[in-house]
Amino acid sequence: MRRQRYLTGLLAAFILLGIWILLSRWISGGIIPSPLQVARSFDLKAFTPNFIVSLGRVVISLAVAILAAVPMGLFLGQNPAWDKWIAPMIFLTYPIPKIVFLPIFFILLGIGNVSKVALIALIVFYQILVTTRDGSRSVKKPFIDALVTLGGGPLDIYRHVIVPACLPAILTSLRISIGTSVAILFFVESFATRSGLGNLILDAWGMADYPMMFVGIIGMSVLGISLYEIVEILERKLCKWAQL
Amino acid sequence: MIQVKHLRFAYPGGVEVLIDVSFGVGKGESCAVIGPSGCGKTTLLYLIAGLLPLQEGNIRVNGAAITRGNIPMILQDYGLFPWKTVWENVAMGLILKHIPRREIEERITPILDELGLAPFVAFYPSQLSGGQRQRVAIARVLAMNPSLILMDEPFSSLDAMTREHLQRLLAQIWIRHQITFIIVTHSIEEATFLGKKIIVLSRRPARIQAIVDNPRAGDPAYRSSNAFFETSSRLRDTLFSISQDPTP
Ligand SMILES: Nc1ncnc2c1ncn2[C@@H]1O[C@H](COP(=O)(O)OP(=O)(O)OP(=O)(O)O)[C@@H](O)[C@H]1O
Ligand SMILES: [Mg+2]
Repeated sequence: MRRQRYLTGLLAAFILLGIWILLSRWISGGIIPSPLQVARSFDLKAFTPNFIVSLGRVVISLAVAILAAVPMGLFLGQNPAWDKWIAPMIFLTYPIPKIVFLPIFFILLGIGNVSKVALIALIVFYQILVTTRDGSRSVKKPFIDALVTLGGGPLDIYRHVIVPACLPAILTSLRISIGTSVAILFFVESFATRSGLGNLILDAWGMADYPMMFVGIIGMSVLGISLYEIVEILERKLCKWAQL
Repeated sequence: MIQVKHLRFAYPGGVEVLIDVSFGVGKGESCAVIGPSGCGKTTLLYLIAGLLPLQEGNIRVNGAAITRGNIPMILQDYGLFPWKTVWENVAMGLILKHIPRREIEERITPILDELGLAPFVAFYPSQLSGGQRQRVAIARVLAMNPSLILMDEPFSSLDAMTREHLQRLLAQIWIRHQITFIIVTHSIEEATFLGKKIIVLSRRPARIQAIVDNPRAGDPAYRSSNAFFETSSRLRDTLFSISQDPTP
């Protein structure tokens, strides 16, 4: 099963590479360089620091969002009395494209990493919060009753029932959040910074160095795919029961 | 062992469920509760388990007031945790008591063997048949070494053969471990086979309609005897008369 997954993954990578080569031949002006050109302009020394900075920003943002959203979502799902007051606030602010607050974040938190991380974390926070709350809300009462008859207290209920029951939903929302956060990363890295893959891409673009631009684009893709894979592995390890 | 006195219960919103329910079950005795659908059987067990607050009347187990978390119960559905393996499910009550893993192992291994679950310890509930799942549920309450067990229609979703098999198993356990059982059931045969005392509840709001003494319960030979047939028919008549009553 897993072997097959790797095989089909490899095959897909080859097909995409083929499409890339074809496009680089067809589209003139060197806007799409060939894989070989990109490989030649890949410079590990220049690439690595940018990659690490971007990775750090995304991972910290996700960590902050998870730490805030998961406990809150688990709690709200189990406490309708609180949720009644919080839910309308979430409902009203969820659809606002929070990315428009970027200038305000820059003004309030400075133009450094803090404002970038805060913006990514805020946007992802909503996705994780809503999914976790809905997951926690739908935990069937009898599971909790069963734990109580076995002597479980309030914390045990979270540990042995609510958290494991919600984990698949939390990981799914995390997966979606990875896509979102990498996209916002590009946006926040296009302002007021000299580091990160987003900056690398825009710099290269400015200098019409398309092979270098593609190095950045591939770097962003690798970033997203690796994080995604990590969540996949976590899901296989922690939620075996949900995949039977 | 357990004394239930003048129990009265209504859900918030005013649905009266139980009216003046009183009965007692002796130590090592088994008691079957039967009654029309929706009459309040689950509610009665929830009250005994301490999962619902008492409103009127009282329940004493061995002379003491009940506390939640001390009386294990096999729930009607959703009993097992799908995210835990068979071993973890069975060990759950002991894990919650922070008993060391080695001691848990020592305590539950014989139970897993007795119930034929040893080969499945690493399985998840969704990988088991319905009968195996119910055996896990039984093992989980036995692991707590309880003196009283509550069961809410534990076998209602099983096929007839598995059901009869588990009823026998339960009767053996009950005799071997000297555990007091209260088992809620829809099935007249099940009540007759498993209940030394059979409590018949009326339609909601449930009162006690009849308490039938059934001394041969649990004896495998009883099932094919005339006495079994007679007790079953009597129960059937009583239940039938309830369902014919015009609603009060
Ligand atoms: N949480 C609740 N709030 C309000 N009413 C409830 C609640 N739970 C149960 N009831 C009502 O109380 C009555 C008794 O419910 P209960 O589950 O105890 O019946 P039961 O005898 O176990 O039924 P069944 O045979 O279907 O299992 C039902 O009519 C039900 O609608
Ligand atoms: Mg019921």
